[in-house]
Amino acid sequence: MEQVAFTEAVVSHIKQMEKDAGRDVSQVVIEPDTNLFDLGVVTSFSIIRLILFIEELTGTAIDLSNEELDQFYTLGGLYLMIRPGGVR
Amino acid sequence: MSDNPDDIAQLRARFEAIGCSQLSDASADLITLLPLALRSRSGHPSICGPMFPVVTNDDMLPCLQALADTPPGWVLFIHNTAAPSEALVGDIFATSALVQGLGGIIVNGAVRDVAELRSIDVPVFATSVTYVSARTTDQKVSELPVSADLGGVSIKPGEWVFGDDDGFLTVGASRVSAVLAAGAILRDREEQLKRAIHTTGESLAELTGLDAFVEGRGELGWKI
Repeated sequence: MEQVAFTEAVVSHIKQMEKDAGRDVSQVVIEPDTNLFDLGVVTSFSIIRLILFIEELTGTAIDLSNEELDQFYTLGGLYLMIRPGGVR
Repeated sequence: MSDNPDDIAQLRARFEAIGCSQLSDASADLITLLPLALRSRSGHPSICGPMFPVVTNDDMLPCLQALADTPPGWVLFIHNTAAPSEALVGDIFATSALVQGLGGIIVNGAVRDVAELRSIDVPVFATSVTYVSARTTDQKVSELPVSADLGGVSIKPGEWVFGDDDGFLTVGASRVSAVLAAGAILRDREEQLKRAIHTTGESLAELTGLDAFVEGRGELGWKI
């Protein structure tokens, strides 16, 4: 999956999650290296929904070790995880 | 989820760095509480793996059949419907489990030889202990593994169990990697918060803005 398409899909999902939670982040710009947790649009309690979305989007299970945790915090890191040769 | 023992061992190692509390907090909708007062009888702090359930009524034969059939890496789950339970697992049983490469043994019932179990490197958790051994071997089972009904909670073959000092829970096999990943993130964020408390010298109330929250002037936050 191309990075642009992946990023657009994930950002759309994140913004929908926030909308469902009653927060309007439609105008928030999320860069590839933006820390999603520091921005407040993802928390450790909502990360499971994002993981399941990415698994459904890409058809691959997210399976990471402690060394790869930082990749979860940014869109760019998430793409590194799902691209061919990245973390499965 | 793969049944490969190496893959199971890899996920087990990841769980040991996370814990049941984090799995539950991060994936509350995907976990099922296992309502059993299980305690480690082998000294191992945790146990996890796909379950191979068997049901017995104080009879050793189903337990022995299940031990023989449990694949490497899997957790043998023995549900004893008799109460009080006679001992269904002891040091010889656990030694075989070790040699067979099982991921552990959980007994909703009793075990014995606890001193010896502590020297056998296979996790054994049980709800009780007695030196009175189960004596009968009458109840041959024709099907293994089976689902076990624990008062409203059904244990299904292949479901994963996770247990530690905080309690026990189960997760469907298809969700295990996602639940572990979410738990790992939560654990990482919690460690970051603890480091922040240490390095800044600020209290939890200060770091989370508790006073402002109580006074209605802000959100309760460190964004874990």
